[in-house]
Amino acid sequence: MGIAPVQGLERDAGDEDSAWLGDFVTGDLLALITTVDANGMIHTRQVPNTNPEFHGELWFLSAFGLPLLDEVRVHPDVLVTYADSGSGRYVVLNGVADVVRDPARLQAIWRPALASWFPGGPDDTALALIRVRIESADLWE
Amino acid sequence: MAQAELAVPAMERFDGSDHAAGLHAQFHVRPAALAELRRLIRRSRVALVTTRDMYGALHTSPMVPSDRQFDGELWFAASASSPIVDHVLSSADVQVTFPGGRSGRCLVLDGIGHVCRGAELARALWQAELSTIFPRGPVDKGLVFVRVRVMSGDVWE
Repeated sequence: MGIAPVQGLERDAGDEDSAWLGDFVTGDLLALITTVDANGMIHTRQVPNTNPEFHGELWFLSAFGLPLLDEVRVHPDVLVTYADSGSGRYVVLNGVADVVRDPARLQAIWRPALASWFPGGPDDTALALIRVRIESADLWE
Repeated sequence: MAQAELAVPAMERFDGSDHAAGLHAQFHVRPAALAELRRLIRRSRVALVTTRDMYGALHTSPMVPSDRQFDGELWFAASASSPIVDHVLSSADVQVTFPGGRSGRCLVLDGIGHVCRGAELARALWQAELSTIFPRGPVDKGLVFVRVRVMSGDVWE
């Protein structure tokens, strides 16, 4: 791999062969969410991956009062990136995000490891879900 | 004249002396923190570079920075005709993420991007791996460098 761009190819997330994408996003890699705030500044944050399955939407945990939720409301167009440095594969997903209150889904995706990020546990009323509807995906390897 | 051959306007022309000044004025960091920044940068060889196009849409591409020791600036080789060059020229706000993978610390650096070229600079930053993309070597007219001058950063656990 040179110091220039890694070879990339664009794939439609709705393709027949999108199984590769599911394998990537349902794993144990941390996700990176990139947003734009009201001042136009770019922000990238590392968040736990809470996607045991993938059907065109990604779900992430956040909490009311965090800047991430404000940014998603101002600029719903976000990027979600998974970086697998070990295999040298990177996937960048373009999507539209919104903030959802869904206690049932929250309970379903909760696992004990998330307590280090959200010490209030799954019943914390400040918790919110961010849903990202994926529109396109780039795989780089 | 050589510059006019490229379809890239308004690029800064550098000579080799200009970027050798070391830690630039805007980026102040404690020595211990600088050592940790360098460690995180070296650890994940590939950086995710996020830019915006002329419509404001976000783009992230994996890129490998120059081996040069980090002193507040990151350098990325790019083709003069690549989209990232257009993005940086229209919106200089660039974010560079060194991902943590499955559990590690993730480094996010905010900076100002600048497209640079010039024979001295290309010789100074040339690395052997670049010859697969720029077979004519550092004199290749299509070779430019995106310099990201880091203004602030965050580490995510």
